[in-house]
Amino acid sequence: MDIFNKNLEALALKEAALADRLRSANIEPVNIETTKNGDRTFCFAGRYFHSRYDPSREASLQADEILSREPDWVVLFGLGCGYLPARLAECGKDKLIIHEPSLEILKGVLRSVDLTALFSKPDIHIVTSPGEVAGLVRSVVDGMDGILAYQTPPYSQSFPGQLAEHTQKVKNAHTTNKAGISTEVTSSLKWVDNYFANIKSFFKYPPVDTLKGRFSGVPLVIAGAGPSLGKNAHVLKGFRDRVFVISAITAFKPLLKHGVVPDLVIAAEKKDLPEYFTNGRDDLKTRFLLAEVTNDKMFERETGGKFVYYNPYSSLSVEQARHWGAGFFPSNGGSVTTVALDIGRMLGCSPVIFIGQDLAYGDGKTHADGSFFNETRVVIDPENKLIIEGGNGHPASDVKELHWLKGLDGNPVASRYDWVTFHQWFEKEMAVIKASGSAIKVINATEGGAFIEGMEHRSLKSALESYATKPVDAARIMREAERSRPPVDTGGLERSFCSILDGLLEIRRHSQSIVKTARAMKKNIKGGLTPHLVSRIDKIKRLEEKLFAEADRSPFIWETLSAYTYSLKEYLRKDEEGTTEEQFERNLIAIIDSYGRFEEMAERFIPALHNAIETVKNEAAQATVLSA
Amino acid sequence: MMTSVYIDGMGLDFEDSDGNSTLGDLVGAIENDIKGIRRYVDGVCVDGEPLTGWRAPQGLRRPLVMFGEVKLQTASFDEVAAEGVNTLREYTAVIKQNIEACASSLRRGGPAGPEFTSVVEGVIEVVKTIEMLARGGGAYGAAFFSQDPAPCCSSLLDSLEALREAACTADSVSMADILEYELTGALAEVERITFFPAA
Repeated sequence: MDIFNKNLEALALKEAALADRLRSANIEPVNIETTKNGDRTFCFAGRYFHSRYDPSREASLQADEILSREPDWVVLFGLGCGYLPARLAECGKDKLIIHEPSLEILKGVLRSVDLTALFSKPDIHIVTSPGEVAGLVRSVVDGMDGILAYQTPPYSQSFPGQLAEHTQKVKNAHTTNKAGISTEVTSSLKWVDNYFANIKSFFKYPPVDTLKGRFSGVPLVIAGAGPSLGKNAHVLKGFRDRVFVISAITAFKPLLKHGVVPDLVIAAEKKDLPEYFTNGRDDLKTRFLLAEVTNDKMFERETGGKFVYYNPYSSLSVEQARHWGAGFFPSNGGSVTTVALDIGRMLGCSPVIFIGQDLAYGDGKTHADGSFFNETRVVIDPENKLIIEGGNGHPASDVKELHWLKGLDGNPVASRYDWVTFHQWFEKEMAVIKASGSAIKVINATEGGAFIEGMEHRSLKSALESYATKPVDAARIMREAERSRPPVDTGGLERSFCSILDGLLEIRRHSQSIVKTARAMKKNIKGGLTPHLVSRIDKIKRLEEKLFAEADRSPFIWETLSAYTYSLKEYLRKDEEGTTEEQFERNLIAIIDSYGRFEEMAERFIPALHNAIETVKNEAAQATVLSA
Repeated sequence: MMTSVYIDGMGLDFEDSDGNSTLGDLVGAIENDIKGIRRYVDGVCVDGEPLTGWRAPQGLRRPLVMFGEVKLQTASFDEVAAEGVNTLREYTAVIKQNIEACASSLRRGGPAGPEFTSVVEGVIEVVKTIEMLARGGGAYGAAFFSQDPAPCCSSLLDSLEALREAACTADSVSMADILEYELTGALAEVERITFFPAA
């Protein structure tokens, strides 16, 4: 077998599509030359990409620079003949994402240089587009990991446009990873609290699954509250009876301003947001589509009805959704409009049309006129890359880091980190939809802001004229869905809550034992690391094993501890100096702290579990009475 | 009016009876006289000002009657040659250091930096020094090189030209290669063929 086929065979094991593409690509591969020391190099667009004398030595120099910065992951723009990644792997740095922007180079190299050893490394990935790089950064890199984006001079000089896009995508993808951690740290515990607080509402309001397939072929308009919403929301009014409309909570009032009452207002806020509603008759004309972890006050708000959706990131939901009658867990990119896209698909809607999905600042504003953020103004200072906002919902002077996205006209538009994460998700989701062979059409009819790869971009008027051709009685369809809800599986729920409670009681018991043992060890450490002291470590390990086994029965305990888990992870990454005894003592303190928190969380949720079991029993009894 | 002529500060009786003599005639006559003691004319001041470019043909063709006073400085060829050889040794060492810094920066995507200018200027100085030594050696019967240094000078100048071309296309890999291998090789050849006195 020649080198090319050997390389492709190895590449196909991890990047089958790329291997196929290279095999069939009708392109002129670069001409590979032999260097003075017998290595390989090539000239592309008038530039040599490796030394013509000693490419390996050159790669060592570059690798030393990379290694000195101690990244967890290296994102290389350019494979070249593979000397740099090979050198990095040789030095033990084998978590690499390599983006080769030229198929001509890649094909030429694979025909002449044996890279099978490189391709066989599990954490070395090769892709050929910025979107794929972003996808990989999202999927294989932890938000806590450090990334170093590196490129050799010929690549930065020969592919400046692609490099700019690559760099932006890598940055945005890693921002998304970090944002995920930030959200988890700041929200997880509150989400668990909200889930328990909403149990009565789950009995009352049907899961969104009841709407499944009921809007087959109906155009869905998903409205975000981007600054451009005011440019075309009025168009929607003219087609209102021929489309189904889901509005982000922030876009509710701006839509009302244009005479559009949405069918559903989707929200997942962990705190109550009365300011987003009219507290009047308009609230009653619409229904809410609420995440199960939404603040309980939102469930109490008076509206025309409510549906609930359950999230895959909540282990309580994953465990119990089926008992509530739900089996659908929408994909979630961090914003409610991302969730609405997947819900729209489940409903059978087509096309899905986005408006107000700017994901960028526009006309000096963050949101559409009529929104809660009406008074907010934005100043962009490109030199310092800062944005200063004021008005409602922000401090007088709120400085944010500036991010950039490709705009509708191809020019960069100013954005911020959370919008960038949504944008990343949309593009990834569109690639997933395309790969799945789904026939659904997704149109971005937002008339400003960011370009979203994979969506069709056209004006709202033209999209509605093409697709909003038949009347839709959305209210009737939703009423029928509400009535068709299957009964809640109270028996299953009760068993689930009881099992979780048993698990929590055990977690509390084991945590207390571990803390007690560790405290006793800490007291005795002054006498040195005696054999007796060291033997106590085994006891702690045994208790930990038991505790972790119990945690499997109550997995939500990890969510309640996520903030602490991340700080513990940070602690474990630190290589602190000190004598063995000092390090041992620090570890004991960490153990006492960690399991003290386990105990605290168990204490906190044991009463919530008792309440939940009581509620389920009451609802079951009531259902029995009603059915009798 | 007769032109006053001085050599190393001492007045000289130089006869320009028909007024047709040139600076070249004067320098030629003086160098002919002092060649035996291995000296040569190293600088010219006219009417109190140092004259630049006087060794060029057009400089040497200038009629003496233009000047009121001509002062010539002479130098010992052996001293100047020793200085030239030292210059070669020092320059090649410094250039090699700068090449290393410059190439390392280029290979890592950095700028060529101030070292680059220093390399280029240094190489030009080396070539000038080699030519001066070769020319003087021929005239005074001294050998500073084990073989004809002309090919070395050509290599150095070719490398400079290649460097200029690579810089024009921002081909930093080629720039680093030329610096690290071609120019360094040519400098090593200069060192190899030069008779350096024991340090």
